[in-house]
Amino acid sequence: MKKLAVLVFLLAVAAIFVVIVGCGGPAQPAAPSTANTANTDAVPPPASGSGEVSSKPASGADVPPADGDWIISCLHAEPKLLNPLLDTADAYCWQITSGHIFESMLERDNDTLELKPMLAESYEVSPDHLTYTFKMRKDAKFSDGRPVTAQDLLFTFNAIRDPKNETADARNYYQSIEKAEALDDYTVKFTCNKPYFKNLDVIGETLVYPKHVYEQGDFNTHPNNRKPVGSGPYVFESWETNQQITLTRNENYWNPAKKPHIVKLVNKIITNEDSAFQVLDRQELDMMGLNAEQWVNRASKPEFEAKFNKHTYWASSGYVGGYSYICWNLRKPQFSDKRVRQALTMLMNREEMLATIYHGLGKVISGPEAWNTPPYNQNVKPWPFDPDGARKLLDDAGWIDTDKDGIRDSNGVSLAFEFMYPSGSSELDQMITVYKEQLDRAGINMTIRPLEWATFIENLTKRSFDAVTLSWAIPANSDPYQVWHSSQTEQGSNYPGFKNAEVDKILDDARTEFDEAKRNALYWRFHEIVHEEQPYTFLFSRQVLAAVDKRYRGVTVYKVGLDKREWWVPTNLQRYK
Amino acid sequence: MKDYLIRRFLLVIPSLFGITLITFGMLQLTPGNPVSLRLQKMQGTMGANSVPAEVIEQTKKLYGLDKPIWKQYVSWVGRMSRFDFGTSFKDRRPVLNKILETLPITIQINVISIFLIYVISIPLGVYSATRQNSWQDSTLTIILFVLYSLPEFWVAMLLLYFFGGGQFVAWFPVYGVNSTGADAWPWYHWLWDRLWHLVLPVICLTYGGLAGVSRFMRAGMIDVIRQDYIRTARAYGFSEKIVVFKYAMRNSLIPILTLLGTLLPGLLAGSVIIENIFSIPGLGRLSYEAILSRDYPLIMGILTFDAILTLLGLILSDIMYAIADPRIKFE
Repeated sequence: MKKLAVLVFLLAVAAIFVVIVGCGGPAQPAAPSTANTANTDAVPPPASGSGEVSSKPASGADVPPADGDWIISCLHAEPKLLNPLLDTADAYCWQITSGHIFESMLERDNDTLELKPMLAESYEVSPDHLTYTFKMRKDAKFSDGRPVTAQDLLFTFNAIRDPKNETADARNYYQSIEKAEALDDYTVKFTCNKPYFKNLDVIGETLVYPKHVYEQGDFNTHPNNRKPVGSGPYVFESWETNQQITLTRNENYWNPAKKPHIVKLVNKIITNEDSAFQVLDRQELDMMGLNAEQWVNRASKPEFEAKFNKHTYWASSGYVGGYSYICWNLRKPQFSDKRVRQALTMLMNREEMLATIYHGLGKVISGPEAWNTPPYNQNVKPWPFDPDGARKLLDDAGWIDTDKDGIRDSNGVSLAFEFMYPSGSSELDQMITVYKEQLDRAGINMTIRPLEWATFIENLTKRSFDAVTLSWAIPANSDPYQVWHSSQTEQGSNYPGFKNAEVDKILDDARTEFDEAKRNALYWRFHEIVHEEQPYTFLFSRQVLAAVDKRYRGVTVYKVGLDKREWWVPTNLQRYK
Repeated sequence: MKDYLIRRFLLVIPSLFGITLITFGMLQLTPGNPVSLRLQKMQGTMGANSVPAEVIEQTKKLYGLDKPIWKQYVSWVGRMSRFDFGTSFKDRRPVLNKILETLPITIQINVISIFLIYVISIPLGVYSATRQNSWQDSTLTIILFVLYSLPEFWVAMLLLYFFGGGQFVAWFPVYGVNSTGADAWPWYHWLWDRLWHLVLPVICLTYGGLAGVSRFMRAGMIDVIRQDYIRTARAYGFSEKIVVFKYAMRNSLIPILTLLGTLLPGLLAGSVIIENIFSIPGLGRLSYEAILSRDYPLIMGILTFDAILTLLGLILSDIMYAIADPRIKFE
């Protein structure tokens, strides 16, 4: 039920990261602790303290969780539709529907990040990892009372696979799944054409749509794309275009043990981050993701901290982490030598940039995985800031200023390039200007070129760039194949054009390696190679910064964010009816 | 006059045709398109493999972008002639619905702000003209030009910060056009709520327009005051009040009236920033988002709407010209 995406492209480094306060999802007992989380936490911690997170964490011995009250949160843009299959990258749509309205066979466990049954009773995987047989719960019901059956799962599967539907992005994940058949009303067998460790995630996390609602008419223009129906703990109430989207509790939820306490989830659409903060400060919002500037300034005032608890974590909305990077186009002669790329990394003072521009709310990373997950190789340290070392590397690589124009050159090519990035982020503007100065001093000429998003994308797709900066968001159990395999340089997401035989072999092997520890060992080696080769200059993992009204209880910060389905408010503190 | 108007209205048709042809062409020339944006998402979201070519073709087909550009334009014009604006790429809703949904709010804000601009500027202009080159005139001019040069978004943020709650007074709401649940309230209550929401945005749209109109008024007034008939009126011994307001002001209003027509489309564009800052679901925000996402049918729909408004605005100012000044005859 989480996002299917393995890697999602983020608009600029800033936007989505900061903005989305995730809901639902996999979890670990506590966020990687930072100075910021500890001091403001007035919410009673789960009694066990060990992270035994049931759906209702105990919160002080005597007060039982009370039903009632709302959560008003905000969206900085309106989702396109509330049909997550039509746009797997529409984060707001997923945030609202996934786990709240739509459910899947399996979900990730709060403690272990392992998949566990949700709509499924059990599942079986054949020894060759080619067939997956799901037994579905017989008591699960859609919000309109009809049972969730094998036919509904098949319907969703077929809707995704139907080329007439605008589900191409979702369809892309199902390439190695050949067919699905119903063995009886509650059993579905999936057959794959090749073994792949992600197949279980893809099948298990398929959101189950009610066939009887969505089957009539065109899936793309279906009226229920704006008023979704599913089996989840919340039901759709209203969507006032460009103003607000409201869900109410599903009073007939099939799983009473997991019925949430909060009766209404209101999503206000407030397009401007600064106005949204104002609304939050007036307590007309109950929670919001903050940007670094707000976090260190207005949100650290005592008046603010008296009203809100502040939480930090590393990712959200179904992702366990993410990172920003500069991508060097290896097809260009300037960047073909790894020593140049290493030098370019060593010329960037990432620690200082993080401290000054992002107020230290993040971490400098060294490789292509979420830094707090097992595939990330902690033994690989980021390249240091070392301008002298960088100059030496450039000299060694034969980039010397022979024509005395102040710019290094080699074989008649001067070490000059254009740095392309999505416009609209003042943080990026600052970062790149500082970097340019450093490069100038080392005899490298960089021109800065901010571009509007659609134009930026066009250039990126055509591979017509020298260097760009972007981010990846990474969900649990991710596969870096598309970004790093040599087969992906033309059509896929291997923007640098990175080709390395050992990496290819590792990525191929990892796809059929079902033992997680062994797979991670492969990824550790992969991390080392990418670090050495530096097709990217890895930048930062940024923290998600969230403010949550103090009246909520049961707020636990999981590894991928907050789970609103667990929250409640004591009766005497309830604000909305 | 009648013939002239008929001719003017008929001329709207070829003008519109030309405008849409140019905008359609420009849209195609703009880098980036909905398919590549969509594809980027597919590539950005990692699947088992890169996006196969047939998926790209399917996507183009879904958007009708697989045909040559001239065919796309012809079919667009064909649909437009039946008042079919098509459906938005974003959510597949009819473009016309999306425009009609947002238009009233933008119009409300703009009508109020145009009205305020005139109501404030005209007396200011008259005041300046009658005290030409005095210290009051200079001070007023400086103030108005300072206002004119303050960036809208900055003023909007200041207003939000000081009047929108938090650490200062919470006199005005800071987002949207109505409170939650206002639709169920009695009409007078609803109206009050709406107006209360519009205060800050309207201030932002108004202050910058004062300089222009009041300068026009001042110039027009100074012209008129120099005329013989004003001297005659004074010679007759009419009080200054009657000279200024009855004889001078009426005649100097003519150029101001004609400005009205051209202000209309301008204010539609001006509201993009304000609508974004105050989260107002208006036409400005809609067009901004449409352009960023290369939502061709929606962009074309909005531009056609704007073009029609502009052309009508021009005709309107011509008509008002004739009404206000009987000496002007259209042949």
